[in-house]
Amino acid sequence: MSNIILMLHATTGVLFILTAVWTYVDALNVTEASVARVRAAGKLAALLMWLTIIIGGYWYIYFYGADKAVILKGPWPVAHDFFMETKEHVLLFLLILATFLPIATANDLVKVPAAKRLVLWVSGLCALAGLGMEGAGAIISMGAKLGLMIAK
Amino acid sequence: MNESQMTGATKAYGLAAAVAFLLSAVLVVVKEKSETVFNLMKAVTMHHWFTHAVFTVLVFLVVGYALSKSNGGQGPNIEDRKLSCLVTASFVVACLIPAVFYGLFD
Repeated sequence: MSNIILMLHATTGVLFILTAVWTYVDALNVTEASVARVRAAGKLAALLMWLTIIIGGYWYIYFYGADKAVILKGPWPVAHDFFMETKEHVLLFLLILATFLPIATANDLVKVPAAKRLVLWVSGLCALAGLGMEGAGAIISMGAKLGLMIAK
Repeated sequence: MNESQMTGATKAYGLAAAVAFLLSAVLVVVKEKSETVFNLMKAVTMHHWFTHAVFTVLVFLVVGYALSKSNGGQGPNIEDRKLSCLVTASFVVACLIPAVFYGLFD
């Protein structure tokens, strides 16, 4: 069950990144015909980020303790000490940024350049930070894997 | 005179996001350095991280709502072009605070 929850967390995270990129690209060339789609993408990105943090937060609170012990006894304690500690907090900032995205896309993106620029920055940061979170997750998994290999 | 073309909610919640990023980042350092704060956060919701998450979301929502009511519902007086800089800079600085703290000082 724990592994399924963890895979769901990674999957919704990847979908969030893809949706943030979609928002960025669509906003880059926004027209009257596509503005509704940009707004829909922004809302979907926020929804996916909330799903990601709810699923990941549940796993972190109820299942991560065992993995943490294995990581700290293994050859890569930095996977917890730096990557997990940083990830669990940067995700909170990313949640707020993603929640702000649909608010930013509600502006007139076609006629107001500053609003379009804001959406580009917010969606671009969402995508980049999301990629960073996926990378950190991979390092944490590797830390647990190496810890288990040493324990054998 | 404010000739903003953005909605009041955008300016209000953009500023609120900047405040939430930075307060939440400072709380990372405070709770790691103060056992009292850490234990208090654990006691509130059974897990310090969940309390941290609730705190961050509440700051964003409460500050954003309050600011959206300012200036007769027009939102805070901030130039449109500065909002992107503010949100981006505060997000990057907030991300660097836990990274530098856990990387160098913890």
